[in-house]
Amino acid sequence: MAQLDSTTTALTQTVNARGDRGRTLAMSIAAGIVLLAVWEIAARAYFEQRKTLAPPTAAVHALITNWDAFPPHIKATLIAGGKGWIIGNVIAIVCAVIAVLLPWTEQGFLQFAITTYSMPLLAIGPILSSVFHGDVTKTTLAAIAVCFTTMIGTILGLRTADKTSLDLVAAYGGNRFTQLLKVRVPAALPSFFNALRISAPAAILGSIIGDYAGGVDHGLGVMMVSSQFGANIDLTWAIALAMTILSLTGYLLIGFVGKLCTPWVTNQGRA
Amino acid sequence: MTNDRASTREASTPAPDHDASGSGISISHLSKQFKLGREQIHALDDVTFDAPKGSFTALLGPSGCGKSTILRILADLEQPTSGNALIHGESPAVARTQHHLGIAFQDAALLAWRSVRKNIRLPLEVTGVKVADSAVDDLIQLVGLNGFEDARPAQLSGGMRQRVAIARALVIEPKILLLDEPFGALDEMTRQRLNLELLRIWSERVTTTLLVTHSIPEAVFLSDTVVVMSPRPGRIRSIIAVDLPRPRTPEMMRTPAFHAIEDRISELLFSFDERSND
Repeated sequence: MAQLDSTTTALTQTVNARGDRGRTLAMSIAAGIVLLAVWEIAARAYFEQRKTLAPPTAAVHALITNWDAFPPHIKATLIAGGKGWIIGNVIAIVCAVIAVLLPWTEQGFLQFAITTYSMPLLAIGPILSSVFHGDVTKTTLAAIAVCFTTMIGTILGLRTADKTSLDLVAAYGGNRFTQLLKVRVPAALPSFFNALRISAPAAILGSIIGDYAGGVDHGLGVMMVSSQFGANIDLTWAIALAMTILSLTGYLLIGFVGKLCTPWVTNQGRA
Repeated sequence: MTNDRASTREASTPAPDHDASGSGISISHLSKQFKLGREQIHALDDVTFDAPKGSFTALLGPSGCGKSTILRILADLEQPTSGNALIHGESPAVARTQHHLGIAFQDAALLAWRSVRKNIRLPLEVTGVKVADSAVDDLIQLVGLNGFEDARPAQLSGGMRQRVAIARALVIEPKILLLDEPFGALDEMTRQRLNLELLRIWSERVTTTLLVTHSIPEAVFLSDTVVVMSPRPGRIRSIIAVDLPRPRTPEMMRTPAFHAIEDRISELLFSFDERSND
């Protein structure tokens, strides 16, 4: 779900870049309302008896009435996901910088990134939880989930640096490190922040998958499993809603910070 | 600059002696080859010329004649296969690490995240050279960008960006200014105006200047000497002294003397095919 949200937002942004921002915003809100209405009607008309699809109003209602149960689980998901996000990103950034400074290492780092990307999180979750205890599994899965995106985004960003600007720094006696500092790093920031914000929902997803691996008491995934066992459809949907809001908040928050840090990037450039 | 230069002289064989100490730019027997696939490319073949300190020299020729390669060798961005290049008696590597070079390219290559002032200050940060803030302000004034100090490159026109690039090239007070078609991507009118300003700036801070261009009027209008080059392999066709008085004015571009020099260069440039390898 988080993945889908980030894609949708990315799409909306592309549209924004082309046309009138206000109009597209109105359009997406309208589309959202229509979607919710269709969902509501469908759920009430056809799925009422079978109790599989909760209407959005019921999900929101369940979220509000059961709110007291949420905070410890949200906290657990956020802390493990956040830790994993930081660890995964730090590893990715260090690898990306070395790969750009020493081009012969790049192939190796890319292989490493692709390996982390190809690892099925669901399959390695149980393996990790049999080795580690507590939140380590969740944190590790979150870290693995973000590593690839950020490393690729950072390498691409560092490489987009203008060739002439690099020559210029060289002509004034600058070395690779000066070029990195003065040209490559600032040039990489937009694509770096893009990668960071895409990785926020990925980290939360990793953290939730960690819950399914077992061995923990708290986390939105744990809550989800128990509400499914209790056949509480409305609550299950409410938890899914909470997960989505959490992912989206992380995505938007990092996008906002990115925008503050790269004021020279116009809307056109960002899309 | 002295106006009483000898009348237009043409030296098909460049001056053989190389007194590095009195020379601004001294290039002798410079060759550059590189491999492109299986083909061996002769970018430069035995190029020799001298430019005195404080002079303005243009390298003129069609694309592929190696004029930019000479500039890149002088900036220590490329190494020659053989031969020598000296800048005020120093090798390009020394000149580069001693921060004696100022350079501007066709692409202004401004850093999008920096304001005009901070872009101009970039060479100072890279070299560690200290210059008073007032000197940077003077430079902004000199290139006519007052009021735009805090603007970002995206807010500037193409001509203004090149002004920033020129100011940036001058900020460390270089011994030599290397200009690789700095106004090449601009429209003709902006280009004319900036050439005039370049002359004004150059006459205020006399700096040995090497300009790479493929515009004949531009080369004649700005330079003391025009080095005419021919392509494949990159060679010097002829070295032509421009004896027009300074300061140069746009009106001079309409004089018979100006046209005479232009015509001579045109003739040289467009007669390659008939007189190949002579």
